[in-house]
Amino acid sequence: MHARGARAGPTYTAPMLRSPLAALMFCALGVAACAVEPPPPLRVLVKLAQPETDPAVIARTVERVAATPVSYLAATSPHWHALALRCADAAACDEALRRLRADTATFAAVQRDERRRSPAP
Amino acid sequence: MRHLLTTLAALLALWLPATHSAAQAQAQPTARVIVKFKADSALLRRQAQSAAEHHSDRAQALGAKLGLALRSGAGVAERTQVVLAGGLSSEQLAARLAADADVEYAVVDQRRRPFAAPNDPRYLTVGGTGPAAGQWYLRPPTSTFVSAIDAETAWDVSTGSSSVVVAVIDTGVRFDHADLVGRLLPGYDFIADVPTANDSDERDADASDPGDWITQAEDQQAGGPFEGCGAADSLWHGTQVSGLIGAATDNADGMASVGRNVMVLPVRVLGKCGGFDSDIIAGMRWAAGLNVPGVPANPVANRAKVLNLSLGGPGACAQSYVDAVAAINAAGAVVVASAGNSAGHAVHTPANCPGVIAVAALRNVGTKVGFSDIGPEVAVSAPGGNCVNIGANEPCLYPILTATNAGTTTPVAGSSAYTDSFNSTFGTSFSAPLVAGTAGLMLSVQPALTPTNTRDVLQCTARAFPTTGGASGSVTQCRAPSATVQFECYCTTSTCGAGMLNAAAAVRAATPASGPTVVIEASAANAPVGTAVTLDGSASQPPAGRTITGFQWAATGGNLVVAAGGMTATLTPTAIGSVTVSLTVTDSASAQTSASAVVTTGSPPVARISPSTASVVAGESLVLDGSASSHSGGQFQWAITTGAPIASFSGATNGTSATLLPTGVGTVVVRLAVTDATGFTSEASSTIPVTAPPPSGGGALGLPWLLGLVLAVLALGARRGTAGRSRRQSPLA
Repeated sequence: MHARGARAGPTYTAPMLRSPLAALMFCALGVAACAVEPPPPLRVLVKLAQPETDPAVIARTVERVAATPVSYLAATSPHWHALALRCADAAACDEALRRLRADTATFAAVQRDERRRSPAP
Repeated sequence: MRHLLTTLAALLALWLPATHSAAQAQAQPTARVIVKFKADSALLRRQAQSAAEHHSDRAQALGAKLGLALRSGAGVAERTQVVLAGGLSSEQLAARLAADADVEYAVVDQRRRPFAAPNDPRYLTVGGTGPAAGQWYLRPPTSTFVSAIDAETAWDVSTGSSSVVVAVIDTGVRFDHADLVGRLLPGYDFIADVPTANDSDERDADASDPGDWITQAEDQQAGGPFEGCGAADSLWHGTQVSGLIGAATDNADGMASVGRNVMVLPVRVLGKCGGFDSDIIAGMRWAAGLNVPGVPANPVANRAKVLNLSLGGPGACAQSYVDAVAAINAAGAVVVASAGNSAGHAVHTPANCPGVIAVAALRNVGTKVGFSDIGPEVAVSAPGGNCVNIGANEPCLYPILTATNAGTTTPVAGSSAYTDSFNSTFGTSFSAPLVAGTAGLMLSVQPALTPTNTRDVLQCTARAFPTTGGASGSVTQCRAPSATVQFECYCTTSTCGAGMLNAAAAVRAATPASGPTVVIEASAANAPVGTAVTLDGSASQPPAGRTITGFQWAATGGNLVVAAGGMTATLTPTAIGSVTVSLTVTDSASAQTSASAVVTTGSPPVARISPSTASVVAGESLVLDGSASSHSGGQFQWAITTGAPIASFSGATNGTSATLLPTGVGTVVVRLAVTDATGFTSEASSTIPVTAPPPSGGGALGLPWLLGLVLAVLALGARRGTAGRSRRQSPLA
């Protein structure tokens, strides 16, 4: 056990880090790992077909239709609400957005919650 | 010494009566009125015949006639002079004089003041870091400042009402700026995203601006909330916009603002790297008094009539903005937004949304300034600041000077800084508040203006764009926005809106009419062709202190004859249709008001009764037919005008025919009135004898019938008295 453990330790950590090739492989793995990290949440504005002001109810509804985890952000009006969709990747966010837009019985409109600025010329 | 005392005593003796009479004059204010005598004035004729024809004589003569001690003032023109009196107001004196037969008009000789530039030191010029042009954009236009909005003249009409609220939907505000103290309502912070808010919390009631700086590290932090936002110092953008709309003005300090006394409602929706649609729209709704779940309602007194949005982003107007602007406009609030600063590209959203007054930016010479976006969505253009000098360390010549804070990251407490020629302010962000402030002035003089009215007035009163005078010889006409940048160009109405903002004309145009009240009384609203209608304007009234000096009639048809003096006229229609008659009344201040009335003309119907002559036997019915009348869908009314006791109608009396049922012998007169769709009426009558029914059996029975008749007559003669009483009593049975 100890031998295995002693062997396992150096072979899993120190030797690899000491080897330039191993370090390169580690970095490559790290980059790959970064590439599959979830993107930042997608902010959306949904217009409910029926007005609703309970954030929990709205979040559950959006989550059910979008089929992705959702967090409620803020109300804009009794009909319009901002939420964040947490998707596995950009394509998943696009698909979640498509599902929301397709459910016209629940959502009268769905759009991205865009950032606006007052930039100097 | 004695000489000195004697002199002092003499001076004191002179001074005492003088001060006494001055006090008396103060107790009795002097009425000042400008009087114009009529050309045919008997008083003037008498004056002309006298050897000394002076204004003073006229005033005294007029005073003697009216029982007033009048003094003569300066002559104004032939037959026109100033008249002074004590013991009554100028308005009372004008009313007394105006009623006199010798006077054409009498009006109060009002005190006028020159258009006063506010005494804020940065208004006219700024030394040191400048700009030397000061707040050029607020002053009347000149050959150098072609696009200046002439707020100065607008302020002669209104300096803004504190009951009008203009919301600044922006980065919040520095409440401690000296030029904004007392000019700001509490507002609200709508930023729900904590990193963006930069104040450690989500939405809250504190609309102050904590700064929106972005460090190099934040800009470059991969995956960070501000990655790619661009490193920058805090802008204090909301403070800059608020200063233009509502900085304290004519207070001998700092700068002047367009809206002067209007109140500014700071609504914080932008933080680090801007803000999200969800917070911007929530802030817009709240400012206008609309519901935002989870946020206390904006108190009624603080609800904005104008919203300024100096923000945006590329793209089409999103449905959320369409909904919000429609609701805000429906609530009566005007939305003004800047077009965008991407150098001639398409107008950004929300400026491109329906119902928004989009504002593009102009150089001082009136051309489109290079950075401004343009397009058909632009309603009007206003100065946006331009530098001319572009060399390093050269002063920007024509920036939009405004309030700011000296902090580069967090605010400097109590800083009351201003932008200048080296820390310059320019952009469509600063064109929009010039329009929003003007809208605030317009709503101050006319609170009933709708958002549509406001846009219409701003556009109708805008000044035409110049077609020459560009900064360089290569300036061309602005083209529709495309993917290509487009710098300075000559504006057109399809790219930069209706024209250059003219605050003075817009506020004047928004001011309710103050001319006479016009009343037209017509003797008939409907008249047949050829029938005269009398029109009377004598019930028209001048505003207080003025008299009516003229009536002017006009008609779209017919023969119009105006009576002497013009107070009445006669219209004789000459064709079927309608004639619109208008009356313009002018008062002694040359103010005019018009009103109109419509006289409908046509040919009256012709009523006909068939049979026109007929007799009927008592107890039998007679059908009267009016269908031969020319009625064109009119109404019929039958009536018995004579013989009602012995006849009545059986059935309806408002149809084309009626059934007469006489019950006694005599004469019945029936009348048919036919009224057509335009209200003309015609009548026809028919006289109908009612005879006794023939005796039963008739001539065919021969002699036995005759014998029976004789016997009956004899019997009737024997019982005449009893029968007569019986007949008289019968109605009582």
